Amino acid sequence: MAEKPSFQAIIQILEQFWQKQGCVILQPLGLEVGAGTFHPQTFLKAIGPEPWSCVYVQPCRRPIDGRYGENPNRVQHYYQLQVILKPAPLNIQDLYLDSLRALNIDPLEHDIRFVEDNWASPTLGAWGLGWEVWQDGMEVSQFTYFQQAGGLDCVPVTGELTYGLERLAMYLQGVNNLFDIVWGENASGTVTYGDLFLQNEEEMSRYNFECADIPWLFQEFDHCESEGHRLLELNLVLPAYEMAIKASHAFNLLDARHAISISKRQSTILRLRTLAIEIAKRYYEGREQKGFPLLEKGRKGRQYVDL
Amino acid sequence: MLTCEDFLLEIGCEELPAGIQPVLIQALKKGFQVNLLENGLEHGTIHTYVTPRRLAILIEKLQEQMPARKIERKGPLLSLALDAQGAPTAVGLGFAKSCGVDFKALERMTTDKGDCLYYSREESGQRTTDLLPALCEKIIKVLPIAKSMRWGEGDVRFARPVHWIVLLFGKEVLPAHILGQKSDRLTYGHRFHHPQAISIAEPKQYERVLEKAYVIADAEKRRALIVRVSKEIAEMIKGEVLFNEDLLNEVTAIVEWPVPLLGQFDPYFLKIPYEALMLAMQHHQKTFSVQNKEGQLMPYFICVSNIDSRDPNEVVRGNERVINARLSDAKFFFDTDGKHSLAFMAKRLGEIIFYAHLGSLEDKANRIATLAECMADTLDLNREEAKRAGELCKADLVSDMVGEFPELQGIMGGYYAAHHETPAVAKAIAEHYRPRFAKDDLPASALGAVVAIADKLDTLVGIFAAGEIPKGDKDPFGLRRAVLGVLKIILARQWPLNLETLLEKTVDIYKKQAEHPSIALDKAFIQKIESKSLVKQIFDFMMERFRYHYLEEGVSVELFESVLAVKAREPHDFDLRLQAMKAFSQLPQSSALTAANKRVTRILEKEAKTLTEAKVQESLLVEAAEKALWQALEEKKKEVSVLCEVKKYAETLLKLVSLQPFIDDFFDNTMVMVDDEKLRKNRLALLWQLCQLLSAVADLSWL
Repeated sequence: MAEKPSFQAIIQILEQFWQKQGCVILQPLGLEVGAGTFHPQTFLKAIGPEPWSCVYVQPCRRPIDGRYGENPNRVQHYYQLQVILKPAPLNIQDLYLDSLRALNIDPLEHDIRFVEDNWASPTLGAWGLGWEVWQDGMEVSQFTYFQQAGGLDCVPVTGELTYGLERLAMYLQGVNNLFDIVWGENASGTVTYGDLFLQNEEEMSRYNFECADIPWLFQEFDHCESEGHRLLELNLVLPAYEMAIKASHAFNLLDARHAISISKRQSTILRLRTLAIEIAKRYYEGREQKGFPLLEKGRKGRQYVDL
Repeated sequence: MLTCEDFLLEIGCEELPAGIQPVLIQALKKGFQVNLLENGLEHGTIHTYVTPRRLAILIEKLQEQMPARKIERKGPLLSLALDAQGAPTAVGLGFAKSCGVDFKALERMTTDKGDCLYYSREESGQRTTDLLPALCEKIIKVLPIAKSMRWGEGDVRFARPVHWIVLLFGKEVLPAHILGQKSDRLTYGHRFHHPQAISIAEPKQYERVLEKAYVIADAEKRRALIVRVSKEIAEMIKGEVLFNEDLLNEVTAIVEWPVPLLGQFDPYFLKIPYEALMLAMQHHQKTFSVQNKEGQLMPYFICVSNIDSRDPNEVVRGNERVINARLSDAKFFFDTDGKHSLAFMAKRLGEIIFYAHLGSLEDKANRIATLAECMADTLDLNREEAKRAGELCKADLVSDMVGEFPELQGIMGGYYAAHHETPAVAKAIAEHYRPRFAKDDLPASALGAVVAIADKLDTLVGIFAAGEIPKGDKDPFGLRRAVLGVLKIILARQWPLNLETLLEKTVDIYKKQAEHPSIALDKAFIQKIESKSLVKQIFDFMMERFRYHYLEEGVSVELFESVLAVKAREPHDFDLRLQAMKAFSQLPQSSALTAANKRVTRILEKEAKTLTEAKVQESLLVEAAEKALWQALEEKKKEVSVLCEVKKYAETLLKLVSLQPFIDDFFDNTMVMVDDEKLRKNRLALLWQLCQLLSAVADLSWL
């Protein structure tokens, strides 16, 4: 490998690659989420018959994965690059492999493998079949054919590709510690992942595991859940969905605080799922009433040119 | 002379999950075997091929045409088919119509009821090529895919998206539409080494063509290659590969062109518990571990890549990085857990519900402790240690290590217990989930065996009480395995444990616990448990498993039933009786004794079915033969009772054999059903007592 791509370059290369494949480049959702799938441009767009293709980076938070910045591979805040292709084209695997080639990963040098990994999000009432993609034994992407979202069958099937950007960067840059990843350069010189996030990991891990206010989080969870149902009554589907996302993060924090017993865990997940399923149903109905506008648009084709 | 051709079907798809590959290919083969047989089509050897990206079946010398067959139909009697004038009736015309011919074309046939109409024709066999497409579709449709999927915009379902179908009969493509794809002769080689299409001229080229395209289609050959090369690599570092059968199957199923490579990890991580190391390497990373000649784990692993890499070092480096990262994570959890004692962790068990009505895991642990303590008394083991091991056996469920690697439950508890508890307690905790699967080891220590039994019985009683009885393939709590585990442990230990007593005790412990004010279990529910019927229900369930266990071992149903009939409540005792019976049934004397026994039981069944107790009055014994039998009976009774006391069942059976001439003599010379009621009753009593004695080991009437 001649030159090692910076973290920011990896993002740019992948976004450009997928843009050329007909994806629109989006920006992250401004809420705490555990995975890029929670972005409404994935979860909601996977519902119903309307075609959709996009690419975006999503910062993700999984409080329980925090390691106080002491573990070279695990952090509670990281980035996913998410690609959505709906319907999933028959050559989607080849497209994905081409995206790796765009990163100068040569599948004749590196051992690229599709290893069974079936994805399910109990809180979103969603599941799909697919693989984790291994590169020389390291999981660098998740590849899923959505079968259900919000309890609804996905027709047509959405293909979701999720790149673990830190893993990919560690790989491409040949570093063994996540905090040594080179993010890019600025006027002061090289900026590493550690420069940006080490303090964040130290402090957020303490917050997540030791200091987060448990009674308040329980309240927040309850409040967001009931707000979600109330907003649905007012036919405010997207605000209701935001409430579901907030409740989900409160749940994750409580989980990190070991505040949810195993028995209660199941029922709590069920409450989130019930809300998500209701949201999905309402979203579908709303789009149906509007006549699934993107179906029509898809037929008209391209009108703008990206330079 | 029928001609034949080779047949080939290949389903090309995206990477199939490893676990279903053998299932699918077996089902495909079976499907063809059954369907070809049904259609009377003969064929030669069937070859199957399976890789992550293809399922294929090659059938040699498949008959080109189905055999011709004669269609025959017998019609109505002429008396019904013809009227008085000899003209066809509606019945006669109806038959002709159903055969699709004119009435005149029908023949006559003589039967013993009179002459009737008769129709026959030769049907030439259908061409195999006409039959095959539909046959393939039919077979594929019923393949057992537990999780099937749709893809793109279609509604076809399969395990993964399908990309191509090869369907050849000899040199010809059979036109068909299968799983959304049009059949062709084009296959594809290795995803990276040979992505281009390859045309297959005829079936027998299949394997060779693919091998040139970097695909070893035969799973057995891939497997053998992985084993051979891995061994060679390990020898270079004077190591031995730890081949785990399941892992080997899985690795074989995720490569088309296996290239084993040697990698290293930081020796510092050898401090992590062995089981965690193995789990990270084998289960998560799908690599083989290596040990030295002394049997110690070496800081090496073998990963099997799927390409002939331009730079294998890159592949190795990547794998090393992942293994080191995983082990560093495991080390983090291990160290974090190490900050607390197991007893400290146990305090958090109260938060975790075991099962709805049955309280928390803390409640469960306490019950296990009580039952283990009680068993320790019976078995003369250290009761304090039994209790302690029971209390702590579930504590590691709240540890970070088990949270991350659930497969290590129990094992981690054993490691953590080693800091503060006695070695016996630590070992018992580590072993108490065993046996976890069919061929798993049993607990190696006595205390481990006690806690393992106590844990399983507690689950059995609780879950049965809650009505979650296993049905068909639904056994979410693994109760069948638990029962088999209990039985196997008791047999291996030769412990004199009475199942009924143990079950009663377990129910008792639940009830006692429900009386305690501070416990979180559903008291009303527990109080309602009807002990007697529950114990019987579980006992019967356990015996069913016992039967299954013995039948698997080749014991006959009759032998099993003969022992079951005498109500042996101790598995060990049951086993001794069964083994004695098994050996005895091979002896020449056995048939004479069972025949004698039959004479006894036959008459008792007829005349004294309801007899439960019967005394013989010596003064009423008149015939020489009955006196002799009585005397022999009295003598043997004592000997048998002594032998049974020490469970010498083989010897017991031999003693019983010596009664046989007396029994035969009795029946030959004595009339049982005489008019004199006193004599009759006395003789029946004699036979009843004899019958009791003959059943000292097993109910011989089953043989």
